[in-house]
Amino acid sequence: MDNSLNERKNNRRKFLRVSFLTGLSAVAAKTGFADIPVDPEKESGEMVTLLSPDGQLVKVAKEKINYMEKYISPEASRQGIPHRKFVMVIDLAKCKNARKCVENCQKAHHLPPHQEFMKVYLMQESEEAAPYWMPKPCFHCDKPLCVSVCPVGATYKRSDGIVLIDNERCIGCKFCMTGCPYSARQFNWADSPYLHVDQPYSPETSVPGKEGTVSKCDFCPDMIRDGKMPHCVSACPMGVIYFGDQLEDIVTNGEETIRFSELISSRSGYRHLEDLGTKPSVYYLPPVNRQFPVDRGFDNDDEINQRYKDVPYVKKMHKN
Amino acid sequence: MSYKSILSRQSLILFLCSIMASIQLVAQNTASTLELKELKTSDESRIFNVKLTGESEAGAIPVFQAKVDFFTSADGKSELLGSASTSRDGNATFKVEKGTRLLKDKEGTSVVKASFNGLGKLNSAEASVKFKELNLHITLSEKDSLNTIQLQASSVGPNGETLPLKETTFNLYVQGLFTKLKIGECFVDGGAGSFEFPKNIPGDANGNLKIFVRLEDNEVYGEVEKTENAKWGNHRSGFVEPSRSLWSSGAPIWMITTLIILLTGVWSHYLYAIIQLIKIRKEGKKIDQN
Amino acid sequence: MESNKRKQELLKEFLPQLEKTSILWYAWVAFLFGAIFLGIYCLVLQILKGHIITGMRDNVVWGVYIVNFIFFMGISYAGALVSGSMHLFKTSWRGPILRIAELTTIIALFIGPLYILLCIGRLDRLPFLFMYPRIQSPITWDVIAITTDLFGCLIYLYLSFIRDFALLRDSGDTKLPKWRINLYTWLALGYHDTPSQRKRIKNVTNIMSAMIIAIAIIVYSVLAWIFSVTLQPGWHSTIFGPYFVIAAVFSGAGVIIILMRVFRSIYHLEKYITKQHFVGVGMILMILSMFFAYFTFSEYLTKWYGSKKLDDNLIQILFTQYFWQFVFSNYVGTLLPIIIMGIPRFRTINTITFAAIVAVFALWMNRYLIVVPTLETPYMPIQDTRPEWILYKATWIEWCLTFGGIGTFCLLFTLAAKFVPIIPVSEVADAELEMSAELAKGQNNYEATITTPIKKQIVLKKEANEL
Repeated sequence: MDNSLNERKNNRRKFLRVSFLTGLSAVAAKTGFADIPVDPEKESGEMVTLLSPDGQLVKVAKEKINYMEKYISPEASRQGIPHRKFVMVIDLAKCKNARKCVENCQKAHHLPPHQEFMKVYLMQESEEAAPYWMPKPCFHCDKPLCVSVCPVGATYKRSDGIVLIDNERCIGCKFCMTGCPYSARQFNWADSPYLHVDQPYSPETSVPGKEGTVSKCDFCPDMIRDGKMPHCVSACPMGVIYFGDQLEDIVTNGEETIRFSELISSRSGYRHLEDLGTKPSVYYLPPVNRQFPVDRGFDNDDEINQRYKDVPYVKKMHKN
Repeated sequence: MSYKSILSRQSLILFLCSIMASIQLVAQNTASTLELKELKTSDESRIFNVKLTGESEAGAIPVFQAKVDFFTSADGKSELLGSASTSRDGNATFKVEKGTRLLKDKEGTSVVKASFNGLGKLNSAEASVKFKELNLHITLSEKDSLNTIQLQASSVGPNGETLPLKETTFNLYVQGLFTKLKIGECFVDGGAGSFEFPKNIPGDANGNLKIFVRLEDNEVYGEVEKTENAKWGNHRSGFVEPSRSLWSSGAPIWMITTLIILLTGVWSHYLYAIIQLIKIRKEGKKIDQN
Repeated sequence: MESNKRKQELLKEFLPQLEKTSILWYAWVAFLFGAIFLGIYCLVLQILKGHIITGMRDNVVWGVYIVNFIFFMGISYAGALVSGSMHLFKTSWRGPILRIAELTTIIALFIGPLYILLCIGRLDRLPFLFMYPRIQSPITWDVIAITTDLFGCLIYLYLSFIRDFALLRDSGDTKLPKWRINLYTWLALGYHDTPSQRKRIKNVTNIMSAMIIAIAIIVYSVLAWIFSVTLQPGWHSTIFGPYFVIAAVFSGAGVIIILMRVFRSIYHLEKYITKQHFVGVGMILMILSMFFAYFTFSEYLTKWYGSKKLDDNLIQILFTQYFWQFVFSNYVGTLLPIIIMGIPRFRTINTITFAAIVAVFALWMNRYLIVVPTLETPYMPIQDTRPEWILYKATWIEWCLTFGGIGTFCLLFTLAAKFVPIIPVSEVADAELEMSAELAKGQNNYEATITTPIKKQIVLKKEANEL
């Protein structure tokens, strides 16, 4: 008697499992994920999932960028885009450390997970002062110390204000890294798969990086030439970063377009560590009337949250 | 009945149910959405933008290479204007040239419909916009050291008479590198309005400005735009970089001079030393020979 | 001639140093080669795997390699300054130690730039320093300066060798192999000690010794400016130029004392390198130690007293993370030479050598404390979780290469001592001649000052008593 009962139980279990799996596979078949046809014409590069007109999910290679057409050689990259002076404004009142700027920049420049051209700091000027999130790209200073100290002219300031690095000339002496007071530069300490990208090297894209050389945020001149904004600007979900041409006095974050001079004067824009006299091209709007409390910025991985453990606010938080 | 037979009947029923469910799922099509926007451009042609997306678990996914038809309709009649194919981001653009006849009803309202015929598993979708024809003219004038833009807007009545536009606000923009900057609004009533253009807008390197006058989000007339170029910018000259500085490619003259003086001083002494050594050698050779 | 005879005597005494090689010598050289090969292996590893195997990361981008570079360049300039100034001032006891000083100059000058090469990420692009130089960059100034200094020191060293090469060439019955005699002949440039040749050599040597002093000061200041023109807290100091020069001569004097001690015992040169020499160079060590203490105190007092946050961060990290290193390098390293040299009872050859050893280590640590803690306290807070990105810790690769460099230094010195006598024969002979001439002149002068008969009687009585 017991045996047959168990047997029935087992059979029922087995059967339920089978029918569940059948149903599941049917659903899978319907959505087509079981067999996504890859468009054979396109090369396997970055794939994007789209719907074909008859409702099938299709993986299509992302539109291949014609690099040769848009290629700016290292020599050509020393000339700036004519009649422009690029400037960035970062609204600290809106930043909540969503880190989409960091991630998008890393993806676009093929950076390994720990290398960040755009960094987000948790700044707190003093014990009693309010902590705030501060995204920091390279400031593309108008008096760049990094350019002054380079012995071979591998880094240079262009007429459009952008400071670029020519990684085919850089000898890796790292003097520019000690020259920059804002810790904006990074060194490629080792070879890695991230440095093997099939793309002709241009200082305007900073891709592919080269081992033993320095790299940093480049204000994405390749995107600018295409009429698009730098990756960090378009990635930010809060519209924190504004970018534009100081000569035509217009900056935009993708949604709002506003006059640069008006933005700075009405919101009291300033530059970080102005007294150092490097004249950065990145302005900050002070963190007043904030959209989010500072704690929203800890919605990230533990590893990222651990970075800020020395900030007085975080220390107080852990004590309580 | 034996347990075994009950079991086998249960299993058969359940199996058939799951098959039915699958067929249902399979037979259910993917819902699709079509968004349609229109703009009457400066050269009085109309541009229609559509975006076709399909629903999936991952959200809305663009539909690629789908054919979207455009119709003009009024009073129940409709005519095919043309069609366009969507790109990788699901967008398609269709342009109707100036002077193309669009069907109008007796109040002068035209309807343009975009429709996607369902194909395979993708459902059909359609969207439409309706608008009345608006005639917009702008004139730029510079008098009394003021730069003014004058607007004249009117529509055509049922009997062909000109009806001046009443109580509508137009937005004014200037073209920037990436986007347009809004510089103000112009209120038009009785078919006319004027706007004093600010003098402190830089424009491009030559002081040229591309000015946009736009009627936006209007229920009656849709979106209308007119552009005009003017040399009204007070462009500042580019930042004058010092030609020889610490960070330029050419070094400051005083640095080069100091370096040359120092090096010449030092290496000339080296040269002197070497010459003396050579003379010692010559003397030595003479002695060796003797 | 008097001096010629003396020279031959000295040469006979020193020739065995060049002719004989003991087992110990071979063992020592083998040991050094071992250290050097280990260094080369590490270098190859570094080139293949990238700089990630060192301890340097994005914040502390300059570590032990640059510290070694500054250290060796410092020793080099000290050698130049010491030998140049002793030459110019005709110090009576300069003779025996001149060659040690000059060799230190040139050998350290070879080794220093090697450490820069270790720090460069793309060695294949080294020629760019000469193809695309930017004159505004302090590194270009340093490249030009080091090249100039190298050339000058080579000429200076060669000048000091020529006369001894001539002597070696003329030494008749030696056990030296034929090829060496030929080499000496070729290098001697046909110097036969004729009056005109002698005058030329003396003239050029005087000019070059003056030049060497000036070049050494300028070149080492350029190296200091590499640090002081940046904005980093702890580097952006106005006194870095003179501070580095003082520290350089301090460390170099220490190295010279150590070398004096070593050669004195190996080659039994007790008669030539006497206590007087140790006290002489020890005095230089002491005076420089006082200057160095003064500059260091001045530097850190200014930073500590002022309230600037960044200076404060630096002082904090020096007094917490690097407390014992700071005490050793800036207190022990300066006070010990002063105490040992300052109190006559403590001045023995061995204690002076001990003071020199402590000074050398203390100065290496001082360079480390200048380079690394500054980079660990930058303007933007280091917000990172990886410990090697927050604090610098040199890896075994860097230490092995350090010892490889030291090994190369010792090896080159060992080989040089085999090539030319470590005591400059001609110089010593000349110095002795000078001294006897001075004494004679002094005696005549002395007798000339005795004018009155009473004074003459007193003097005669004194001389009688002494007899």
